[in-house]
Amino acid sequence: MAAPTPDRLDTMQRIELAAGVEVELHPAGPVVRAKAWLLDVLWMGLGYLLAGVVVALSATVGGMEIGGGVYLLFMFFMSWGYRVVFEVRRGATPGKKSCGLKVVMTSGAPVTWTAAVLRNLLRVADFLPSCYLTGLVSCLLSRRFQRLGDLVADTMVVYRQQDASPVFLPQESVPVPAVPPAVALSWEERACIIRFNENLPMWSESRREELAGQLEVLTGMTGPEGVQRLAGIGTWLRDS
Amino acid sequence: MTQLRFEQEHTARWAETEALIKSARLKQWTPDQVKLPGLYRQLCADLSLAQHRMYGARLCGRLNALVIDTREIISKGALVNRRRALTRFWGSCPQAVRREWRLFWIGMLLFWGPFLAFIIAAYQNERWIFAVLDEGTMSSMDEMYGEDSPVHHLRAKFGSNFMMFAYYIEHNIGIGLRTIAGGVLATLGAVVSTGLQGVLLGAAFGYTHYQGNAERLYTFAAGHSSFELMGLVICGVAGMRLGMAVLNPGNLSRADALKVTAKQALPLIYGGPALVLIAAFIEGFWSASDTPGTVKLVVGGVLWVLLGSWLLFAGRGADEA
Repeated sequence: MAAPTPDRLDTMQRIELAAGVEVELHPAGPVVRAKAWLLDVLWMGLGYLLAGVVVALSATVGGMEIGGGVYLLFMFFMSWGYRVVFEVRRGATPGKKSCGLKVVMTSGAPVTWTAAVLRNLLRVADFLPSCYLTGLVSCLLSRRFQRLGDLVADTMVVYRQQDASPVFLPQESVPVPAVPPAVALSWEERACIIRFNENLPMWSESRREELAGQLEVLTGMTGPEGVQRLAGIGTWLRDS
Repeated sequence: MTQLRFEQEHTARWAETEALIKSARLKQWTPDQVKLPGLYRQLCADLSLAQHRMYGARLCGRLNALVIDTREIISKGALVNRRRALTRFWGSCPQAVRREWRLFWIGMLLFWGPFLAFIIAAYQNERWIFAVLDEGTMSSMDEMYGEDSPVHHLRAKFGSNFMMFAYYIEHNIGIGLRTIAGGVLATLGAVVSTGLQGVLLGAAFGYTHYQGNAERLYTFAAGHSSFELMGLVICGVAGMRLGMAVLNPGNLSRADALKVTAKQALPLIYGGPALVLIAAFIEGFWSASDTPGTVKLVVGGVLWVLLGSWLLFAGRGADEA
């Protein structure tokens, strides 16, 4: 079972896997992708520089023609192949990787060779008329921040999930006695209260009271008692 | 079952899965990794349960990440059968060209129209050429195909065959790929690029007629002309096909139409640049050799016939879509 999805404000994409379970992917927007692109340009510039030095050195030994030819092939690879190889083998170009991004199919599966070729081929069109303007418009119009290349290749750029955090065992300093809620709550309301409980240790007392005060209708209390009661309802919801 | 018990019961298995993923990422293969598909299914069940029982964002988030990572590892195994891909390409590219015969003939017209028009126009009035070619191009044309340039001068200027081969790869395939990509913008990029190549090549040929040794140009170009020009036209067809998905998506949304069309156009997207690649081999290593001109013309003609027959007949049969 999954959460009902009303009109959502966030960009989270729910994807149903063959195993019948839904996972969440978080598509990356234009700003972070522009940053990744800039980093890639820097990496590629470094590559060109190194290749230039190597060619210049080898030219003194093997002649300018072979060196020039190798450099031209290198240029060809850098313009059309570099990103493809990295995206298929590593899931992301070095720039994307350092921004915590990766490329996946819209099904969430790892990107295929054909898809990586297509999305990087179409980069030319996305760049037009200048500075990825077409790609930006396409990103903003599509649900998953897809530029034209992504639409054609059926891919998207998502945030890499952070390394799975260590096992979370709820540790309350003082165990809150469970209190059943006075009225039946909807799925979303229950999820909200459980989330409140989870984040409780991170907030200051006044912030807790402020948030719990919003639910005075439910708890019938304000201040520290309101927090206590809401946490109690959360415990009841979680443990029953 | 409380969240605490749920985590305590399964935490060892999750840790095991995490360890296996880590070693697989580092390409350290252990026999235990055969357990991953099973662990994956169990993880999926865990995640479903955790979502259903509202075990909170942290646990669900962790399981979510774990499911995605495990799936990435176990679905990497899908291998491409290279030989089969190649034999399928042999038939599927001509099939795709024949399926898109309207766009193909539009592409042919877009290229050959300006090409022939410019040769004829140059014959009437050479100023047409000067409108298109700049001085540098003309002087290098003079050097290569001038009235009294020595035969091997074709390469003396540029050095070895290898370097020219690399140049053709970088330059010509680059044009082909840009033609395809530009086509997605409502076919405009492909149309302009294909036509522009016709104009430029037409002007270059016209200039040689007017000012140089046309025989040398024709014997040089004969060998690779078929693959290069048809490759370029097929790149144009691929680009226009993508653009048509935007212009006329039919019953689909434009985004879906692009996705579906790209799949259909794939043999063209690979085929066009592949032909230009073959042309680069011929042009780099053979076209400028001192083989007699007659032989070059005959071989060039034969290649045109072979390429034409391939496009017309290859892949005909039961599985033609």
